Amino acid sequence: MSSESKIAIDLFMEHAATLYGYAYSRLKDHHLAEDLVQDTMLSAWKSWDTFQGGSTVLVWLTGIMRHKLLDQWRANARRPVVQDETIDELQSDADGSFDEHGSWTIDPNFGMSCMLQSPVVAAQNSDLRKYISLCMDKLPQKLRLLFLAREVDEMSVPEAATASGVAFSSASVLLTRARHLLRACLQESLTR
Amino acid sequence: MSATLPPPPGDYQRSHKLIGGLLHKHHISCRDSVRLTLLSYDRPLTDKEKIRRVFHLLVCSICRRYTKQIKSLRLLVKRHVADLAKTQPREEFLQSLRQDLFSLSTRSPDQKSNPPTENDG
Repeated sequence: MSSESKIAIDLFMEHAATLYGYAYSRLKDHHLAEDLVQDTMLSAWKSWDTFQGGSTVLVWLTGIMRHKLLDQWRANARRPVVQDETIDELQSDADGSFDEHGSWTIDPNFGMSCMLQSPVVAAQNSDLRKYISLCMDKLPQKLRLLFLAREVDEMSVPEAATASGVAFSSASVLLTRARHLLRACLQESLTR
Repeated sequence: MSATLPPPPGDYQRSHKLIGGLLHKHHISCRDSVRLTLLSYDRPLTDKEKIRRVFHLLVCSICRRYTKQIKSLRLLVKRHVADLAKTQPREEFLQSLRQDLFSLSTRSPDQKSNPPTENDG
């Protein structure tokens, strides 16, 4: 093996743990995360020539992984078109939280005092952390991908829409819906 | 899902029975303010929207607290995912990955003139 290849392998392997963490945080399954990282690394290796050097290697690898994640999800989705329509038609307030004048019919703050503390204090609440994890898992996958792309990866709305395979026109409605659903799920869990 | 939750406090119910219709008419109801709060994280609100939202929050403590909740929620989600992303891969997986890259690089056409050397450290 040339020393050039060895340097390249080292360069790739430097990012393996970070990529794995990213994959695991999205898939929450060690086997699937390993498969995804392996798939990403090997295809990146084959297309090393296309790396422009405009961004860092990690950004480039993460981009490839996002594409793979999306492809994988598309392949697994049984009826993606139908699901698209269902999500699009949902209004963020269609769950009966408001009356005909748009006033609350429920107390949105009931049982939620832990969310009104400073976020640092709230983050130490182990129940809260457990429920956040639970409610994130309950989000429909497309919604979760979109939400994470926007909130955690801090992509712009159009970028996040592309990265999660959502139409740009519905991205904003869906993001609103994701936040609304998450909060409602959290309240439901905390008051159960 | 909201069936198990109690209704809002009595003073809210009384006040919004009175002003609910008026707020609704001027697009400054609780629902409008919630929608604008959630939307504000994706695009800057227009001046009109900002005024509507601020006005609503001035008169409605329930929605003020709702806004706080959403702020905490976003931070908590970020932290949750950041914690998950710290998960480390198995050492065996890293080794086999390195091996895979190694065999790919020795097989690739442009490497044919450079046969792999044993034991490169």
